[in-house]
Amino acid sequence: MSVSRVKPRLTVEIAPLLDAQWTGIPVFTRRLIRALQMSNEVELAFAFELMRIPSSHVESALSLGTGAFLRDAIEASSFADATLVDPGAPLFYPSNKLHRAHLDHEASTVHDLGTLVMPENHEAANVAHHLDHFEEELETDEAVFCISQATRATLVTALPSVTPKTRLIYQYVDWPETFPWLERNMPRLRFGRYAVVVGTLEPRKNLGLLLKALALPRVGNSDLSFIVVGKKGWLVDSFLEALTPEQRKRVIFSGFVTEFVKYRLIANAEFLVYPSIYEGFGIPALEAMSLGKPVLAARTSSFPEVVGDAGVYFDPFSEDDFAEALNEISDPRKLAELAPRAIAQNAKFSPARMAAPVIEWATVG
Amino acid sequence: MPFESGLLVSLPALELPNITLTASLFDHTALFEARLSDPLQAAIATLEAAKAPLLFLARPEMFADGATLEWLTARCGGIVDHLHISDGSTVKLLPGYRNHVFFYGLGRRGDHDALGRLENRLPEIFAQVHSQVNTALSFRWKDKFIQPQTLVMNRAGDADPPGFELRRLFLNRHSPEDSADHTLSFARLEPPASRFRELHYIRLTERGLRDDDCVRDIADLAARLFVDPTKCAIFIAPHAAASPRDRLRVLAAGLVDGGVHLPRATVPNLLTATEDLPADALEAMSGARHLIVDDADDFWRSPASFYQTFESVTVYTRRQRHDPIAFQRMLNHAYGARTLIAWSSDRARPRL
Repeated sequence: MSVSRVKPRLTVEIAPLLDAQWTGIPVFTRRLIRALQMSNEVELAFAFELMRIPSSHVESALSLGTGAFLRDAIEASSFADATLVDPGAPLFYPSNKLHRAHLDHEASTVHDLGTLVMPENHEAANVAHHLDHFEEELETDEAVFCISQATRATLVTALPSVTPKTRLIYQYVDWPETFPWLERNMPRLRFGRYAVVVGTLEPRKNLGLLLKALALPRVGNSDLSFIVVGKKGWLVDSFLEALTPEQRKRVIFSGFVTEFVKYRLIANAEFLVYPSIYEGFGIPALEAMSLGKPVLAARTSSFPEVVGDAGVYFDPFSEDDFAEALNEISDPRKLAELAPRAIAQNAKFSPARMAAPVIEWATVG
Repeated sequence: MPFESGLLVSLPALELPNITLTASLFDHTALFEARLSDPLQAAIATLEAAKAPLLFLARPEMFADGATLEWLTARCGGIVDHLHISDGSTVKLLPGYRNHVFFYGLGRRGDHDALGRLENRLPEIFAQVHSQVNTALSFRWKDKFIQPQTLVMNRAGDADPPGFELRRLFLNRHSPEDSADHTLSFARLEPPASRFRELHYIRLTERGLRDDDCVRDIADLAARLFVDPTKCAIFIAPHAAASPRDRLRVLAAGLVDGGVHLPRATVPNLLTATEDLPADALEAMSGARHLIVDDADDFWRSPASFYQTFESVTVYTRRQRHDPIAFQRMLNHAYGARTLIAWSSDRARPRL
């Protein structure tokens, strides 16, 4: 007679999935849910503001890759008849939750501490949104998941009382299986040699360094152009307006693109450029490495941890250092040397690795 | 001497665009051409006066852990102390280093309010600060008070203050802008020699100008002096803005809001300036000299010798932020042993 093991229960808060366009934390949430489903180690349920959300709603959103319909479904539901989450099951927030815990077993996720360490790069309302209840949240959490060791170090340096609760959660890349063959059937891109920069445009992305470096002869005379992929974020209007016609020729801004277009642009690039001054993790680096693309990365925060030996590093305040590193990584021999390392580095970040600490928390607290 | 083995200094991020940076780690030569604010320049000059080797760090948050921190440590030549010059919006910490903070310009309302928000949000961060330079602030975290030790660093030397422009003070109670414009339209005055029996030198910050009890005392003083030509008051406009007009506007608004009402006529013994006067000019103007400041006064902007010209120094403060003993000790270091503390009530003045 076989005895079936009782799986631990776990509820995941799905508020990030309500965004219509998924980048950053919504994508992190999708990856976590998929990783937990693949593990088959937990009895998974979903919640939005402590209301149970039917799994079918979430599955539909995950399949479509957008939260637009999920939001509609929630708003159309009768809140009077809503079922509350199972209070005995651990409740996992894929982001910071902005309030005290309601249940005994809650965990939240710290993606970065940009609003604390560089508040000048955020609107005041955004800083308030993230920090006004941060301390209460951490205090009442049973576990605090940090998306990189660098993020954890920054957190516990400022708030050491949180240290015993902190755990690491590393995400992974999950391109749809259809992308490679779709890409093979598409016409070739006609951008010539280019490197790609991926991420929402905001001040800490430090694109000014790239523009300044273009003024250096050794960069300016190269035939390499740069494609910047990402939607326009905050506090960048003046930066974009100040671009010269020459800079606009060498640096192309795509705006928001679909996951497949991003995939194509990375897959056909020579390498990824990541000049950010500060990141919590740096998922575009992992996305590039998953396609065998090395990373030209600023020597900052989480990048050495994520990129490992699959990149070339530079000081994000030094145009000369950037130009030298750019020159080094542009060499075909260097690219050939780094490409297999990129694949190997990406392989360290898997669904099983992402799910493991959450399963452990749900199982033993 | 503090920081004998050197000091890593990180600057407030809002001032970084004024520096042409060529590396994340740089020495003071990078600051020669920088267009930093006056208060920040004064803070840096104060640190330089301590003669400790300084190395500047653009963004300490870059160096969080592992390889980044190793890279930094390898270039710091054994420096173990990191000091963040803070405008109050955040306190930056460097893991593995002994962290210090130098709050400058907290007399500006916005910066002081930002510090208050930080304290409300994450008070634990102040418990990670080993010492505070030139402040004696305490912070409440849960059921205890945190008070990093105070390190007083006076500015060395007898550097003359930047050029001052002394003028009669004009107050239009209905318009701070008009007050500033009229004041600036008056002729510049040379400090009158040996005219006054008593001189009150009032150097309040924007925040001090919102201290009810302080400004009420100033209002009484101004009313008395208006009809007593043997005594004089000089109001130094707060360093709340870059332009003299804006600074005079802030001064006028603070005085009028606090109850200082002067007739439109100006008198030769109520004067104002946007920069400090030199000590020898003050000594020539009057017999007894008294300094009135508030607890957010950037005392390090003037060398210690400047304060020796005053017979008394009165510092207005609000009780909740200071441990009285540590505060008095710091003030004695800063201004000399003649310093009196005037504790203001904690009530915020209602504003219409």
